[in-house]
Amino acid sequence: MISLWLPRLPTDRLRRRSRKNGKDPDQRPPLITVTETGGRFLVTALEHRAEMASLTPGMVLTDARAIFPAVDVALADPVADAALLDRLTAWCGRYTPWAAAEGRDGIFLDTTGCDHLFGGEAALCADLVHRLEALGFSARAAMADTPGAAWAMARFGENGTVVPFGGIREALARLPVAALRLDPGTVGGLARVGIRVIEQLRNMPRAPLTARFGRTVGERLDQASGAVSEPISPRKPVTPFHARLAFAEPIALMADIERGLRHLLDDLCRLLAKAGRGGRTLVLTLYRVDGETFEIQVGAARPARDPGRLARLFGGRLGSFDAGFGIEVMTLTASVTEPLAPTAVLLPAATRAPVNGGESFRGDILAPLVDRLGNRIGFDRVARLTAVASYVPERAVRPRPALADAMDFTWSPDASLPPRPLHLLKQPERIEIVSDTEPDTPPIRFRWRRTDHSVRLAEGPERIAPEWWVRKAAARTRDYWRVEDGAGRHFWIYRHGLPRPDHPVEWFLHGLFA
Amino acid sequence: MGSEQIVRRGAVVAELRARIAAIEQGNVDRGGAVSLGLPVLDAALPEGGLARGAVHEATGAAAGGFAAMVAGRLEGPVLWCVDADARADLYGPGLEVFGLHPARVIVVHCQGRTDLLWAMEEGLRTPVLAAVIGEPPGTVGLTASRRLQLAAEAGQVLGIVLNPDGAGRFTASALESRWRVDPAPAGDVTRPRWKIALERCRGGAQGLYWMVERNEETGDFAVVAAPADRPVAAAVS
Repeated sequence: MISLWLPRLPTDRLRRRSRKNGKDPDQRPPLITVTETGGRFLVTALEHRAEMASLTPGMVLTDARAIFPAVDVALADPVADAALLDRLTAWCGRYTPWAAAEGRDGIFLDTTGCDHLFGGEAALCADLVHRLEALGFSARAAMADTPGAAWAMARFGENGTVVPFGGIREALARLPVAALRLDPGTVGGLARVGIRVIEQLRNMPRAPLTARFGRTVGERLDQASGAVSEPISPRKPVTPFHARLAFAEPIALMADIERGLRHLLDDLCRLLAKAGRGGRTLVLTLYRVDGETFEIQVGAARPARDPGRLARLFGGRLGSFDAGFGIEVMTLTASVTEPLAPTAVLLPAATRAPVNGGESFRGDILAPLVDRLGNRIGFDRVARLTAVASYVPERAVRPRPALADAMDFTWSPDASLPPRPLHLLKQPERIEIVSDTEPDTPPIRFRWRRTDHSVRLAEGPERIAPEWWVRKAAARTRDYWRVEDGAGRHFWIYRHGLPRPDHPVEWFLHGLFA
Repeated sequence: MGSEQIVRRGAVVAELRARIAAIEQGNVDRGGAVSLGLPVLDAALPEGGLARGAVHEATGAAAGGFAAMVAGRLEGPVLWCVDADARADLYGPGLEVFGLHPARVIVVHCQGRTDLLWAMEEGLRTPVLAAVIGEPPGTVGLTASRRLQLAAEAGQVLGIVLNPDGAGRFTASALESRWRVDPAPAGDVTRPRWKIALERCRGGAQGLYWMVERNEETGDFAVVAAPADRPVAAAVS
């Protein structure tokens, strides 16, 4: 586990911005950020040169100005800092898929199984710090078996330390108790009873310590030593289906990126095949030289592990980012996978498959089409209709994913029902009754969308009662009629509610027959 | 002598007509034609049915029903592209009336014209589909119709562009045929009538119309009035 600490994240962010605007921040006075608390401005972060002038975080701004008048002051922006930290966490994906932001200025990386790609643990740590410094960040990193120990070493130990296996106890012994991620109040309290370094704390009997300072102290001690495990959630869930490609020289040509993608897909599909799974959602991450990352996510309607088919899904999406000075690392992750039998073979698209003209057809022959449609239009918008056992017309049909597995697509209509309209209005529209007859028969003339229709023929009523188990105040019994107007158009209209004396009768138009 | 000349001229004209028809239809293999189930209608079409591997346009208030009827006569999955912003949605149980089983239909709710035309094109290039039906908002211009037609030729899939408002009736179009299907007053609600007019057809007759009655219990269609070989406009009562 690596703990990465970015002690000057807020000021580094502002310095990077001014450098982007073509200014040299080193020519400017030292920068500090402040936040307003109780009518005073307190220093929250400061750059190296300000710290050299013996300014410290937590100082009141007026005091800081008294000590060192020539400072640039900026308001702290914790939201922007958090966003930057999240971007940097994503950037750390170039080392390992498992990365998690920690607090306001830290990142945890689990590099288990990844360090050999960078020439060992120490080399990885050094590379991480070096690259971040090149991007304009102050960075400190340390590696240990537990997150707690790595955190302590990153902040209070030598930069780039790798604590060997079993060496935590010794490494932490001389560090101050603040290295245990304790709040300042507890640290102060411990100092008052003479406990300043971790070793002293470790030798104390646990019971009085807990009674005096609460359970946190013992817990943090155990977490650092590894006696208690500390679960941390990574930024993105980690799947074992992950492929990575690093380039000796940054690449910027689309053809090269496509070739890189093919490499990654080959690797990923091999992993998927070994596990007997297929990818449903794939995330391609491109790491640009200047620290920006781009994510391209594509979905497949059915699990797939055919590199050619998956490459086509990325097809149009690759052009959507700016390669800038070049891409140095690409990673590809199958974030959602589903079991895929090894025998599943797609039919070549050119064959007209034997398709049952009636009730159902094999979904997989349409998978490539549904993939293309879904990736552009949205998978929830590509649907097949299934019948639902309900007499309420708008509830009798439900769209289902076009190729979902284990779906019963059989349509079991009630043959005794009168024919239904081809189009159903999403919202029944009220019609105005121009000329009425009895309450139990359809109107003679009605007005819909500002056009009058006279009813020539009518068939009905078909009474549809609301479903009592669906509680809905507006639900009322409807009497449906199919009426034909003078031009031969057929409408499906209904009377809302049962006719009651001294109560106007409401009619709605619900469907259009073709 | 004079009569012989006339006979010869007739043969020359017939040959020229056939050559023009061949040119008009191009050398594209259309994968056969779909019978509309009514011999009189089929007879009016150059291939004895609605050409597969081509896109047809259907206008009129009953265009959707006509498209469902045509798709119902084919076998295999049907892609139906609808505009997500439309006030009415395709209703599954209503498709059955036309012999199109709802389970065969994949419905795509497209946002806007561009996506809808793109989805239709993708569908037309997918040979496993039987038909692609779409209702693009607005009119389909010459370029768009040409693209659809080429996609249908490539995938050998029958396409139908619905245009219920009849808008764009006179814009240039590369589509194979244009139909106008309007409801007509019937004698019985369960026996709705359509007036089917063939407004334009590449290499075939045009300006014909038929009055067709549908029996909803059996699903059969029957012509109730003989075709009139005169312009549709003059035939409107």
